[in-house]
Amino acid sequence: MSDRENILNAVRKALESTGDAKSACTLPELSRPRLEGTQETLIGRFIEEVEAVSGRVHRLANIDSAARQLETLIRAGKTESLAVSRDPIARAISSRVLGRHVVVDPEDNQDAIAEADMGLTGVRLAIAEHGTLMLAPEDDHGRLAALLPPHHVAVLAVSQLVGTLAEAIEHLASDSQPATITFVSGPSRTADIEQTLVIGIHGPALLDILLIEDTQEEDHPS
Amino acid sequence: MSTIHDIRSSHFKSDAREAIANVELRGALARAQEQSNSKRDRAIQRIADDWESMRDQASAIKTWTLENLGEQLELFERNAVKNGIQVHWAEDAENACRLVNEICADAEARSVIKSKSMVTEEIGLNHTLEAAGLEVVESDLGEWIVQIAGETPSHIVAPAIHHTRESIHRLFEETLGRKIPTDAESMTMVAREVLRQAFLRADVGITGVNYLVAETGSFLVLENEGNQRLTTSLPRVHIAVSGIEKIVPRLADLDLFLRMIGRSGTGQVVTTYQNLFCGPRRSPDEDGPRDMHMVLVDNGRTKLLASEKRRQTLQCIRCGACLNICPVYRQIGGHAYGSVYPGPIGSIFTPQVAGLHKASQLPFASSLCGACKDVCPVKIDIPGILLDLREEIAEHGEGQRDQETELKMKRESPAFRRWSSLMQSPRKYRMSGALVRTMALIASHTSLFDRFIPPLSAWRSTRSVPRPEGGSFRARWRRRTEANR
Amino acid sequence: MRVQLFVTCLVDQFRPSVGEATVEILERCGCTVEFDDRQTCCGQPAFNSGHHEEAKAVVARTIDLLAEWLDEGGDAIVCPSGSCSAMIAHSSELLADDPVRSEKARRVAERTWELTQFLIDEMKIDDLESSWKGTITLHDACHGLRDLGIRDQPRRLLAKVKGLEVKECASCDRCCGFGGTFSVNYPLISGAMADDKIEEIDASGVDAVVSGDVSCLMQLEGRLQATNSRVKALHLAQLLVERDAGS
Repeated sequence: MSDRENILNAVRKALESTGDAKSACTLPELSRPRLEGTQETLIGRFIEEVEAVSGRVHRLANIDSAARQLETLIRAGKTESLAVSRDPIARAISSRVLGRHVVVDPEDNQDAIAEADMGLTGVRLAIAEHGTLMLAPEDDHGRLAALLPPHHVAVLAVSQLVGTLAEAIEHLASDSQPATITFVSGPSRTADIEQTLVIGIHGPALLDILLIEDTQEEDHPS
Repeated sequence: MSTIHDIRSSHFKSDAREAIANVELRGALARAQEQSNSKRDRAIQRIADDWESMRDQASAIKTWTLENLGEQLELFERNAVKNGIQVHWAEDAENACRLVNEICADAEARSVIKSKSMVTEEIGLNHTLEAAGLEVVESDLGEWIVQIAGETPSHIVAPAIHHTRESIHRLFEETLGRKIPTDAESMTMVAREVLRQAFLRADVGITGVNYLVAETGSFLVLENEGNQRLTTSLPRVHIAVSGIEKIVPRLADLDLFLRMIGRSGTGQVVTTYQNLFCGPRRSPDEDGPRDMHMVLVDNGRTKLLASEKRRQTLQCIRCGACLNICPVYRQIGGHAYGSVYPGPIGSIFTPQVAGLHKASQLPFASSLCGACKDVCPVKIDIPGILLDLREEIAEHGEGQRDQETELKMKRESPAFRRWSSLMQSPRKYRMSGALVRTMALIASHTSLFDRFIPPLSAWRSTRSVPRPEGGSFRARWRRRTEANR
Repeated sequence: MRVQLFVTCLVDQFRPSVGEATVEILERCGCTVEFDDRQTCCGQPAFNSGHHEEAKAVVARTIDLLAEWLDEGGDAIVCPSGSCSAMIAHSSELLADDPVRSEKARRVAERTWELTQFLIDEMKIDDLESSWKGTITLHDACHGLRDLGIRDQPRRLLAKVKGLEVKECASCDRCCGFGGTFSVNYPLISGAMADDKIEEIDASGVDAVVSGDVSCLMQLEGRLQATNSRVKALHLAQLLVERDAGS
């Protein structure tokens, strides 16, 4: 017999031996927590939670102001090369800083992304209660731009913000499941040396979130 | 046959003695416990009103799932296969290791990168892979420290908790053969640099699993460092290894467990990264693994299902809260338990999985204080199961005990038979009470007779013998009643 | 109220004054205290060591005795130990093979209280008009704390004691390391656990460490003496009974 059959038989035999225990137990209904309040409350909570785990949120009116914020981050970080995912908003923003910086396309080889100083990506959703970004690399055709560079800049529209993890999971259940989903709450961290918190071990050490009110593309200033 | 890799729990007594003599270790453990517990308390404080009902729900979901384990596993398998995940089953450690080895061989792998996984420690996977000539690198910082030190993890969440900054620094300098700064941040950055190269050359990435989701055929793995994201993004092949008990029925169940496990384990609201895997890369222009394998491991777990009480052991979500609160673990650390699963949960898991004869001391290595039961997010009755195992070992365990336990039972069993007969007769109780008081009085003055009474010398090895007050309560009560008459 | 004192074997043999203090406190609260001298032990030492057959015989006998007294019109069974009270609470489960006895055990458990639990929860008395001059710290005994939920009761009683200062230690609810046969099977671990608490107790500069269980107190006292500490180990009843005493 195969291991599969042996295991499943052993499970059945063990559970049968305890008799009617099964009937006594039902699968509990889940409480689906929601956050009360207006969108402004959600945004407030989101910012508070992201900051609590050492991330930063920049509230921005539109794509132009997001581009200016990106410029600021690039200058402050002395960023030389930028990996940009295929997310349309991320592309729109990066196109405004194009020409002045090396932009790596994630479809280029892995080594180029690994060399980049900054990764710019979109997100599928964000969760206010835990300050979490939900990344679905499939949307962006790649997971490395948000992972290999030491600085991750995520672009998020206000309309993408939900209150709770339960809501985010409901969204996920109603969509077709992407190959992978990563929930990100803050930059990479470890405390394996004497419980001393160190930010930025394997993943990005810096997480900046560009939270944009209005992501409508205006006429591109040429 | 089910087993736990490198188990040496039958040396518990001497290993614990060594640990207690290690002042540096005990200092590190006490500091770590203080910090973990205060972080945990703070994190739970914010949702204190809901915490107890969350525990009830989490426990009920796990109970239901275990009672329907066969169906849930088959459902997971069906859905996972639809998602393009190749599902394998392994009855024991040996078969699990063989399976992983074969997958690596098929992939013509030379180098394997791993992210922290207890079940792969349990089955001794690294050992097998290395024997087959593969390079195996642990990428979680704590696991890497333990790996280069040639040790096993001493805590299920914080593997290198027994190390101090100084000992890690010595280790890094010896291993890397160069001078490095002594602060935690610089040492961490050195590890990042070294491990990044290992990620880039790895052909296969191996992870554990926190939750298998039956209804979607996907699985979730938690981490903080990003090493697991790298492990599952860069190599061509991703192999996940999971105990069969790690299953939950619904995707929505994750919400509850994710809100609990970070708070309970590390005092975080949620862990930094939570990775949900639903299959290999879908289109050629994506990155991520081309092949995804799931190895479902029994290794003795099904044995635990036959008893409703002991089955609870399998509810464990490996948060480590019971280790962080345990006053015994605080004194001796993880290695003394001689199993990759130390502390309270290990003391019930190890003997049931590896067999009583391999770990019969562990159920007795507890003062039954019950702190573990109070903190357990899924409400496992650890003291109750310890008692259950003690009964099996004491009353039905002949031939299944290690040497130390056998010796103990040789003394204890007849003693408790005598005790039982004394305690059933007020007259015999009175007489033996007087004798014990007299002996205690003598013993509080002199240790001359200790060698004839082993428990007395054991007591005195760390404590004075408190002097009895003189006379019994019942005698005083009788005098009082007579005087009042 | 007719109260049966379940004195426990340790108090009976080693700390009879704790039994006497318990009687005096109960009488001060207006109870009529009785003591059946056929009492022996709650059965816990054997039960916790895995010798359940040996324990069952003792537990059954104790339960019969206490049930009989309740049937004769007794009101409450009070015990100066959280650990032994908890054992009585668990007896019904241990005796599950014998449904009649098990039911009896359930009835006995319903009418059994640990001393401070009885005073606060049942008698609703927190002021025993006691006075004790000095500084103490509390040790929450594990079974009372975790099996019976006793945390506030002793603190409320101590708050009313004149002249007394209570200093809380962060480790007040951490196990002292006694654990029955654990204390002699693993004396090094057990002693290290006691040390861990004693360090903090000693540093806090109190006169005494106070607890509701004689077993914990003998463990702490044994270690305090071995380390030449000046801190004494006192049972709650011994402190609460005092009307004019100092350290």
